[in-house]
Amino acid sequence: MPNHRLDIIGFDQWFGHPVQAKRTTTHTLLWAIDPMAMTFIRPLDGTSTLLMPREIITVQAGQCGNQIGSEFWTQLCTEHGISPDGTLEEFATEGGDRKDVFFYQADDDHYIPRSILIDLEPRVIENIMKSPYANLYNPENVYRTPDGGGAGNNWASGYHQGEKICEDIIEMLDREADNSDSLEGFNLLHSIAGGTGSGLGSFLLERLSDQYPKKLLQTYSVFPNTDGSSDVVVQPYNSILALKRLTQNADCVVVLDNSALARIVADRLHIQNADFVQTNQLVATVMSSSTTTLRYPSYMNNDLVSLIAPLIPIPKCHYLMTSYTPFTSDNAEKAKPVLKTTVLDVMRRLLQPKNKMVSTVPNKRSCYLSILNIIQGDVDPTEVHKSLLRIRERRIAQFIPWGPASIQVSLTRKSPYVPSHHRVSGLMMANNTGITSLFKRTLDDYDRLRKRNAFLDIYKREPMFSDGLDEFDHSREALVDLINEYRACEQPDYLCK
Amino acid sequence: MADLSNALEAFVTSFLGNNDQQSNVLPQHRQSIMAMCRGIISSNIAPPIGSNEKSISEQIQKDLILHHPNSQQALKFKYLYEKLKDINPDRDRWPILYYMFQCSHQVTEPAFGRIEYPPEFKNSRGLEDILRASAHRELPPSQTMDNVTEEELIRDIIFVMQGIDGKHIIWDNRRQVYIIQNNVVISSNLGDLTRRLTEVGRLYRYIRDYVEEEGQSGGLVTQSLCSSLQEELRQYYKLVAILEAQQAKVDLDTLPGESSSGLTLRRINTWITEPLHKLRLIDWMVEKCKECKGGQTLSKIHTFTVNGDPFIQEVSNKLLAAASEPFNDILVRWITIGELVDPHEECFIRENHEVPPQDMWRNRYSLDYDMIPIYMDPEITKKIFLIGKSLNFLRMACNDADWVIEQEAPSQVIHGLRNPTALDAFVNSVYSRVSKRLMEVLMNKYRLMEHISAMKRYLLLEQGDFVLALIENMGTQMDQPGRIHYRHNLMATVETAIRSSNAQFDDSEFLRRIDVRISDTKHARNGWDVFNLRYQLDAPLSYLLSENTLNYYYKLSFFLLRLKRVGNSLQMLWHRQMVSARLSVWDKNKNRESSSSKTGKKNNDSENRIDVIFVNAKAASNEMIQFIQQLERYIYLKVIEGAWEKLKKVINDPIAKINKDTTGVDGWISAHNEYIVGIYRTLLGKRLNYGNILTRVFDTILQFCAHANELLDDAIIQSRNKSKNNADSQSANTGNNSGGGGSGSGPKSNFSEFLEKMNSKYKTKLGDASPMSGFGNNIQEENINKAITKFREQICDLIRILVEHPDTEMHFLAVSFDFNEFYSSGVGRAAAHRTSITSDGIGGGGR
Repeated sequence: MPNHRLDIIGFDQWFGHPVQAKRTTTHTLLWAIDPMAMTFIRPLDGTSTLLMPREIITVQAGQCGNQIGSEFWTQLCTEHGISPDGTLEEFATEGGDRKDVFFYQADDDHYIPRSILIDLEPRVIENIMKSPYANLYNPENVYRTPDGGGAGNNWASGYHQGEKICEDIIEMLDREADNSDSLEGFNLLHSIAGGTGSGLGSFLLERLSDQYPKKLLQTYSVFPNTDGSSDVVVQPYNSILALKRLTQNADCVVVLDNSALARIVADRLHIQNADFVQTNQLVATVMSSSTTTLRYPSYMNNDLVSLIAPLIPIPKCHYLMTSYTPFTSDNAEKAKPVLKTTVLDVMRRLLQPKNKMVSTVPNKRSCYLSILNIIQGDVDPTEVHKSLLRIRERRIAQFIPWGPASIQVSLTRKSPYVPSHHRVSGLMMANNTGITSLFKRTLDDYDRLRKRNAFLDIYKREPMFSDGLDEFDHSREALVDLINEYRACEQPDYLCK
Repeated sequence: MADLSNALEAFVTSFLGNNDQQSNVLPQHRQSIMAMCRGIISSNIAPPIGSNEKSISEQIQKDLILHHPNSQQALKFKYLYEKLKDINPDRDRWPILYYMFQCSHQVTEPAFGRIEYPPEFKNSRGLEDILRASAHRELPPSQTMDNVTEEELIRDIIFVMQGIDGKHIIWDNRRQVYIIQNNVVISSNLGDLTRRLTEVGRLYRYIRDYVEEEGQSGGLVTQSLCSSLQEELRQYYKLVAILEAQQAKVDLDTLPGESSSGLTLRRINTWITEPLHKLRLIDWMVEKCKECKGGQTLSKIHTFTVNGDPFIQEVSNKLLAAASEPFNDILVRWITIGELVDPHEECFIRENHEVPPQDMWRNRYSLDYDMIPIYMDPEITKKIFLIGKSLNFLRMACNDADWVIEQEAPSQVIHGLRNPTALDAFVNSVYSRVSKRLMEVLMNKYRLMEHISAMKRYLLLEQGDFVLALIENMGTQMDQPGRIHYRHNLMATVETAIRSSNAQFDDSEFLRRIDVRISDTKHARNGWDVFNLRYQLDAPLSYLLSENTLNYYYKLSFFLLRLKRVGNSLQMLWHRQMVSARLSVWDKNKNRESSSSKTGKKNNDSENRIDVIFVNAKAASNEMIQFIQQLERYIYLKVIEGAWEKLKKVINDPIAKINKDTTGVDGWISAHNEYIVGIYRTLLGKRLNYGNILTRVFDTILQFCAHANELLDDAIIQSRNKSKNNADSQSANTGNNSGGGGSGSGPKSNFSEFLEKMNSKYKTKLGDASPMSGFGNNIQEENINKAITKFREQICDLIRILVEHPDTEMHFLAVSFDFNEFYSSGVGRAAAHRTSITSDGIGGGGR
């Protein structure tokens, strides 16, 4: 264990957790108890804590997580004018952007991502380490299992290996956390279908939630293809086990659905036979857009809490779907040019199903719990207000009946270093009860497999299932609970049940 | 003869009244009228027109029709005339008609109307004038008995012309005229001429007096006017000298008693016709210019130049040119170096020396509209004013004197500026140059717009990360009531916030101006009520942005900080709720895993109830978050950014500039005022009282946050206790604690004592005597429900006010608060109602 940890000297005034005196690079955070009065603990005077930076640590787990992560960091570097080796480009002088949310500066002024790369097999990470961005990452933050066997698409194997390498990973996390002045939360990038992202990711969620109860846990979770074309037959098992952790341990899950991503790549970007690079770029676009308000501070939504608080009215219902418009890719010429983009156009397009990155099957009752539109670019701010009213006039979006809900809008700058064909682009993050159709599909697939008791042997080999398959049942129960909660949200009497 | 005099007596009496004491007519006067009548009668005047009865009657009719709108009078006359003809066909009716016609004609159109006699002359002279007017030209010089010779009168007149009393003609101080002494008897004809000539003397006296008085004491314009009047008088003296010389020659040439053939009054009269005309004009001017100075004087003189009479035009133009010279000198100095040298306050620009430097631009110089010569184009005057003010400002405030001196026009150009058209052209060219320069200096050297933008960042909270850091860093110290806050502490916090946010990359030129002020602490509930952000501007920018304008910023900043703080509290609460939900899910799970605990079932009922409270509190906090987010979006994106875009447009767009007539610094000031006052009015204006409502809503939200946080505090302690009990019972049951698997639930027994302390502390804090059955007791529930109800009521009120407001903009705001029609469709109303009922029910009956 790191040696900077001191004795427990009291209880946190937030959650009653034991509080430790902690020494970090920039300040000493001391909590003390008045021994005579036994009054509540408070920070010792004179320790002015630098609260603002609100760093976010990105944890990328598994093949998918690391691929997405690599695209994400490429995108962030471009937007902030950081070269692949971490130095600031000469043209990047415009300022106004906050790099310290996602990067920190090494002693030689190199920008280093606050990122931890974990995989149980070496292939993907090695590819990253061969890419131009190899020197960007802190090599101490890269974890590859020495034997490199992977998790074999087995959630239980990933989870179990997580337990084994826990010490190493926790140390990386602690080091990164100590490296931050006021850590706001963690971003977990993973897919829920396979073994490492799903199993190890689940383990990490549990540990993070335990270790850092006050930090926000946000995940960008890639959901598998549900049309049966997936090569991972046990993905319903993995998904359901991971979903339990996502429901119980995460604060906010941004759902990205592989089938929807593929559809967008094919239909909107006109790329046939798309590989993962395109879909991963899409995910990176979504991730970078959803963090623009954190990276380009303006009036509103400058921290993660203020960004997701309006989106999640009910703790359990924290699955967000996203839409993005307009799409561009490397072969943007081929894409149908979007000529006139007003705020209203963008906001309207964001509500269209074809731009959604989740393939849900909404029914009549489906309704939005909340919507946040992040609009980037050269926009007359007053246009936002007008557009909102138009949307409302047309009643394009249906909202929950039991409480106020609305479309929130945040305007942000565009990176000056990224040329764009579009005057305005927009990202929608929405909390819609329609997401249950995705869960329902997973549940049905699971039930079908489970009924046949198919492929359970590989799970039984792992410690978690050595005593029985209770965990499957608990996970199923948790998912049913979640679906029921969302369904209940569609009812007007949700609050007075 | 006696008959005639009796008849005349009666005739005169009929006009002048009886010859007794009451009559105000002097006997001599009466006599002279009698004599004149006699003269008229005795003279044998040939009628100027033929004694044609018919033609005169027609003429009368025509005249009547001309002067009376309807033909009634004419018909009446015709009727009477016909009747007269019938009654007495042989009588000669022409003389009667002619006389009456003449009389009527004279009364309606007095030929002397052009000459203004003092009013006291008018009464008794009606008849005399009629008579004289009709007789004047026709009568031969009367051969009355004069006791003063014409020569004597001429000598007197020449004296009088020089403003000196003559022997027979003296100055009447009371009436301010020359009068012929009473004992002088001269023929009316001669007297008339004499009187007319005395007018010259009177006018001369007036003008001389004016020149002597005002020439010394008046302003520069008046002095200049006087000096040119002196010039006019000098010409007049020449004439007098010539007359005098002539008279002297006559005196030498002619023998006493012999009637002179040289200079007569009539001749003098001819000689002085033109000078008299001029003197009358000048007198009139002088009369008008009395009590006037500077620009007013010029305006008065200018009124004379607008005249069809070329003579008047010429004279007045000459005088105007002379008088405006010093005035123009002042102006030229003003528009070339921006200095006002105006010892007699004659220029239309006023300088107020008592104005403090910070008011320099706005109040030091002002326009005195009375002093603007009417011939000057208002546009030009405004430009002149602004040029000088700008130059002055450049020199005094902007340290740009070098440029001003460089700009000074060459002297021949300056000389040419006396010409009004040259002045206009010069003003127009200089104006654009100077105002451009001033704006350039303010924008580039003093970075005016950048400062305004910085004020938007720091006072209107555009720099969101700075504000967030500020609120968080202040959080704990500011929430404590009654604590004394020191400026230096708060300042240190502000600096910390700057350092920890992106503001650190901002120019220190702007950062060093951010300041903190602690307002009066009397009614403050906590530190937030006294904390104010300030932005300290230096000269010259502080001269442009008045304290008043800055106050709008400060008030807005205070309000917005409050809004941010409320939003922040809600987000913190949301975070706690999220985490506690996560933990409780976790705990429940663990309970289920570790044991199908029998103790758990007992608590099921209460747990459900607690869940309801939690869900309600969570939903309410979401409701509030939605509201705050919408409000923030409206304020920041619509109100502030909207106004900012408009401001930028007005300042940068030259077309808008021309259209709106907002040029230069004043244009900028008014545009900026419109910007900040517009924002202020929209958010906090009195017209829409919703600023107050919002403040109350904020209070409710903060109250709610406090209650909800208390609930969470208790929940945490409760769950700790429970897990401790569980652990105890578990260890008692199984003897060995095996489950959990390093879940990090902490060293429980170490602080059980501590928790009890905490529990008792909360009990006493709530001041509730009822036994605490854990957390979520009735009072807390009631408090939370009350706050929720209050919030909903306030929001419904707010929406109602906005909807009823005539401005459609406000309707839209209401729409965005009520986006899914939760409040208006009745669900929200009902919800507000319901919570109030349930909270009442619980409060009344207990559980």
